[in-house]
Amino acid sequence: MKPFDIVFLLLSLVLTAGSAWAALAPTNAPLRLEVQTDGGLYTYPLDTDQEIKAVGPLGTTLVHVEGRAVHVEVSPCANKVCLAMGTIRQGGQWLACLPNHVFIRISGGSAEASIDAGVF
Amino acid sequence: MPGSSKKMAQARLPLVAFFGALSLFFATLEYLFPTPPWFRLGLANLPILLALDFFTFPELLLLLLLKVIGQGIVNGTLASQAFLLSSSGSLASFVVMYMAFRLIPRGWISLIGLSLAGSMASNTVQVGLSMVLIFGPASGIIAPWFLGLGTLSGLGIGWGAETLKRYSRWLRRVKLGQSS
Repeated sequence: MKPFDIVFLLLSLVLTAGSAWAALAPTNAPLRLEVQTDGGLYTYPLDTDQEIKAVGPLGTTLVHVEGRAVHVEVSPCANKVCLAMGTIRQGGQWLACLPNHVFIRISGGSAEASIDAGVF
Repeated sequence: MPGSSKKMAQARLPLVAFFGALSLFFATLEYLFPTPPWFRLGLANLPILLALDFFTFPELLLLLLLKVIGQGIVNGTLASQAFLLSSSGSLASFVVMYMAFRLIPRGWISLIGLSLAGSMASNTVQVGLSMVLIFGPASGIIAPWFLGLGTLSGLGIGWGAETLKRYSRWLRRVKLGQSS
């Protein structure tokens, strides 16, 4: 490894750590469910059981919230990765349906919750 | 002599096309590796890294164009938003790699550093664009995965390219053919 190889490696690591800190920074805010669609960013309480309809270019992605756990119930996309991602419960965890432009994440939560998010 | 340099440029064109074909081949090879659907290893970058040494700037641009279009065809994303992301990423990565290659003295950086710089540029631009233009700010949650995996793949591809550069007799012959 030459000097600038190490410089770029360190820069990459700093950038990764910085973005991880920005994205998963533990806060003491209460857990909230954020659903981002082409129509905007919507926020929901995590402790209310409900079905959320997220409308994207392919159709409606049905997000199921029950007992503080969230999963994608129905999706109009072809590959169904969002369904395969399973259930999320803790701050920092996320689900995404890229084809339908739907991002679902739980924001807030404590430090130990954000460690769990790293296990995906 | 402009005449002979033009002849030489024409003689090198098949080599540019061959490197473009190599990029396409590597883009196909990526399917062997299980990665998340939103992440690409960037194996198609390997021929560009190797070519920095002996292609001129216009030839490199042509190679980049071949790589971007070839990749779009192989991945089936040519007509989608993903193509906007991946082509901007490829362009950013190329600009950064080319500048680092020109500005930093040879003994101070290897293909590993160039590959890492390119990977970082590509992934930062793609995350930025996806947050600003396509998926909205919430997609920033993917950034650490993108950048972290990108660091690993950048390291691996740089190491592979550096090893090839050091030991490949074929590359040495190609280079000798260029200078004679």
